[in-house]
Amino acid sequence: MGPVELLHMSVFSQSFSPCGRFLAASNNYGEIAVFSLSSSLSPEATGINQKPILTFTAHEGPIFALLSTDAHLLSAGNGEISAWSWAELAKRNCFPPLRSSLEIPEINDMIVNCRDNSLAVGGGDNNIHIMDLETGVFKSVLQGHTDYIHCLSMREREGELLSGGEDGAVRIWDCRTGQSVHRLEVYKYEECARPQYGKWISCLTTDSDWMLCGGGPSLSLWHLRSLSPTSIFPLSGCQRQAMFYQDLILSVGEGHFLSHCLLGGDVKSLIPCSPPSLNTVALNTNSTEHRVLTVGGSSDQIDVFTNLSYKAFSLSF
Amino acid sequence: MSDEVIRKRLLIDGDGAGDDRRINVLLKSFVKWCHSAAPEEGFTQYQRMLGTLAQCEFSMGKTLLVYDMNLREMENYEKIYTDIEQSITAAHEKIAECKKEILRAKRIRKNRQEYDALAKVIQQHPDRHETLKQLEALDKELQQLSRIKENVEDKLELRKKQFHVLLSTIHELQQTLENDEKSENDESQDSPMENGQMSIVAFSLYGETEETQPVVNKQVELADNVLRLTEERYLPVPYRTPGGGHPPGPVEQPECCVWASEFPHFLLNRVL
Repeated sequence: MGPVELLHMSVFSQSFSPCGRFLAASNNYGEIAVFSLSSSLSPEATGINQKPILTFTAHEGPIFALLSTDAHLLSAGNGEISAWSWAELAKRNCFPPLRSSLEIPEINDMIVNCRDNSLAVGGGDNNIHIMDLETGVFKSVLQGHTDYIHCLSMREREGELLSGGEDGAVRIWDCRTGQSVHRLEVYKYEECARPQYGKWISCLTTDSDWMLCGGGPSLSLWHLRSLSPTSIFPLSGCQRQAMFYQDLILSVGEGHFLSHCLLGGDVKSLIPCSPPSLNTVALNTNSTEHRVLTVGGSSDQIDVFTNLSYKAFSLSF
Repeated sequence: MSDEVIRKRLLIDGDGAGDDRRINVLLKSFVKWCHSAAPEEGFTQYQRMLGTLAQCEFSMGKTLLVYDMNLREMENYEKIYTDIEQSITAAHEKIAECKKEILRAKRIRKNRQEYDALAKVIQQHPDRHETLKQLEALDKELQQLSRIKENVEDKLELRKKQFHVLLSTIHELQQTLENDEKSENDESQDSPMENGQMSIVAFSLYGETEETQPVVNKQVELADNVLRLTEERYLPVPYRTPGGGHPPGPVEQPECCVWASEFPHFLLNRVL
């Protein structure tokens, strides 16, 4: 990988292993790199520990979505979904993966529905495909969006799926019936809308009562029961990923910082990171001793935060 | 064994200065003193040896004291060490407690902020009490208006009935006059039945039992009065109900007006 390629690399998604000791990151060249957290976080870590223990080409095109289930790492880009075994990856083997049967153009996000062990895949054909994880059969299709889907989120308590897309609509689907329960057009609300950026929704996350969505419109906190926006966050730039953490909201997007926001709508702090624009943020909840936050973006560096307030070190592809 | 001893001695006093040298010098001077002949020199040497011996004893005493001191210092340090260990474990526990507290506080803060956010949205809607009061006021207004409407409708019914009475009276009178004319025209014909009918009708209408002619006169008088009242009150503005509603019975209305306007001349002509 020459220096020019490194310069043009973008990290699109990350995923932590179920044991919490490894981090898998994917980039726009179709490669997946597996980093060992235990060695890079240990006190005797050197530069070599910040390099991946394994790098392999998983797909021909860029990989937009990575997801970890109990034993597998699922990766998807343009076309099929591949499943890699974490046990093999930890041993630095990349066996040929299991591939899904259906080819879906430009899969932007995948999410697992734990209730019925199925995978929801949102793609460029404006539909959400539901696949059964046991058998690999595609059970159903949720149709309704008029433009491609950017992001998916799961509302555990009610068993609903939320999807946000390029058409600016956030749709809430009931997982069992496959019908669209609600449709929120965020750009129609004056306080959220930013017409200069567009109406697309690129980040969506929920914790059953509240929902965060942003993209073209400003990042806003919605109360799902009343379907009304409660707080708007004054962040410049379009947000690409957001998450709830304790009493904070962490969000990344355009701009080289990770924003910490409070639920009331204030921006508490902006933590600078190395990539000039960030695509993905992930928090390791699977392990207690390697409890880190990692961010990746349009650079070959992945910043690791051991304390949320500052960057500890960077892993590089 | 002798290795150990040698190592220890070298460690303690390897360079040959200090106590070791003194003891060696003492031994040497003792040997020399034993071999010396002169008594005064022997005495000074003896004194000197005693001095050296005293020095040695003094140094030994000092060493013993230092040794004691070291032992006590060691104990002291042991004690401090255990104290520090305990406070370290106590601090660890406190840290764990505080971490739990902070998680709890963060959860509380999150709940408060969610509450605030919802409250902000709710504040934008109007107060429930005010809306209820407005609703009540509107209800009262509605009731009032419906009462007025009822009153007006009752009035309308009453007027309709009055007009009906008037019209039937007029019609009866007309009939009576026609009958009279007819009876006048063919004098042979006598129609006591009609008069009787007329009087029954008159009785039913006015509750009076009188002769035909005075009945007719009375009818004319009554009709005239009613007509005058009608002319005064209702003619200029024929039959308008408040609220601009349609007056019921459209057939009656124009008839009434027409009758009311034409009748006086008709009746007067007939009667006179």
